[in-house]
Amino acid sequence: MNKSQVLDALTAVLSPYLGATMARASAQNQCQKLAIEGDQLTPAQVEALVGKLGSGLNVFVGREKAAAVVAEMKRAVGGS
Amino acid sequence: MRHFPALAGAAGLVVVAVFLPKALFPEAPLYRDWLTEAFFTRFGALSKLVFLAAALVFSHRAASSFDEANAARLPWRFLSVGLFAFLLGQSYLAFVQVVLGQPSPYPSPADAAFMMGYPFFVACFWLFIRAYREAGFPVGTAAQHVRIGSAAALGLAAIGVVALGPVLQASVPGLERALNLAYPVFDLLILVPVSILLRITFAFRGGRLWTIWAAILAGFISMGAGDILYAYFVTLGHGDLEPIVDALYTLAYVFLALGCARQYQLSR
Repeated sequence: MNKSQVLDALTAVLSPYLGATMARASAQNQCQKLAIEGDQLTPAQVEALVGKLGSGLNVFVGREKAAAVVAEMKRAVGGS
Repeated sequence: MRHFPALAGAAGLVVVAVFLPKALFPEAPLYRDWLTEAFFTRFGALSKLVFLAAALVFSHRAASSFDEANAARLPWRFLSVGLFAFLLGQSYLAFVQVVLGQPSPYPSPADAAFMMGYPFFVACFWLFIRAYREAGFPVGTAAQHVRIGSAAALGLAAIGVVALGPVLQASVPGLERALNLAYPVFDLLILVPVSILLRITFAFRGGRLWTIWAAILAGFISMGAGDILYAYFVTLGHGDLEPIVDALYTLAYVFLALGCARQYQLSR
């Protein structure tokens, strides 16, 4: 999967909660933490990235809402 | 419930529209003949109670919407405990003012309730900072937060020394003097973590998380300003500040209710 498209898709889902700037920054930040390099992401890397973002969101929105956002992120990157 | 944020916003505008002109034009016929002191006493007391109760209910529900293991649950719970203590204090004051028709007593049992609430507010903000820092979002480094907190502590201490000087020197009974100092000091203790939380949550501007925290932090800033003005009002006999003090307290509770309602809407 194309990294830029994945980040765009994740940013679009997270922006209503985190704001566009933080959504983009946090997606990029998690990529660095997961040592994701290059322009392409494997499905496992996308899964790990979405999981990391979802677990961070948990403390702000609660487990159920975070799970819903994770599902939405998965749907969004499915089309990337 | 869905419309509560809009309702709270409208209520905030009404509060400003009612109290601010009274502070600016106290002798206007409107305030002399129609909106009398009795009206303001009832309006102020009841609106504070309504919005404090709303803030309490929504913060309690927000806390309950997080599971036991979630690091945000305890600070939301502490916030609701602090609000409960404040609701007890305001209920006593409303009873005296509205039911007994007497002026607000000071000091009174209400102050004991308020004093019990403050430590929970201070603790909840430090717990929020810890929880939000550990969430893994880029919200600034620990060093940045220490610098912001230190700068805020120094700035607020300077403001406190200047603002509370006259309050310290006033010849009032010991308990009253202690309370006149305790309220602003607690507010300053709250505003240090609030300044760090402003840094953290400002990073979320444009999103719903920012709208929640902007309201909650605005609530505590209004409360702090109200406490400092109240200390002046009581100690130095500035009766002209009373409408502004009432407006600041009421706005504080409106903002808190708004922020807590938004959090509950987000996390339920």
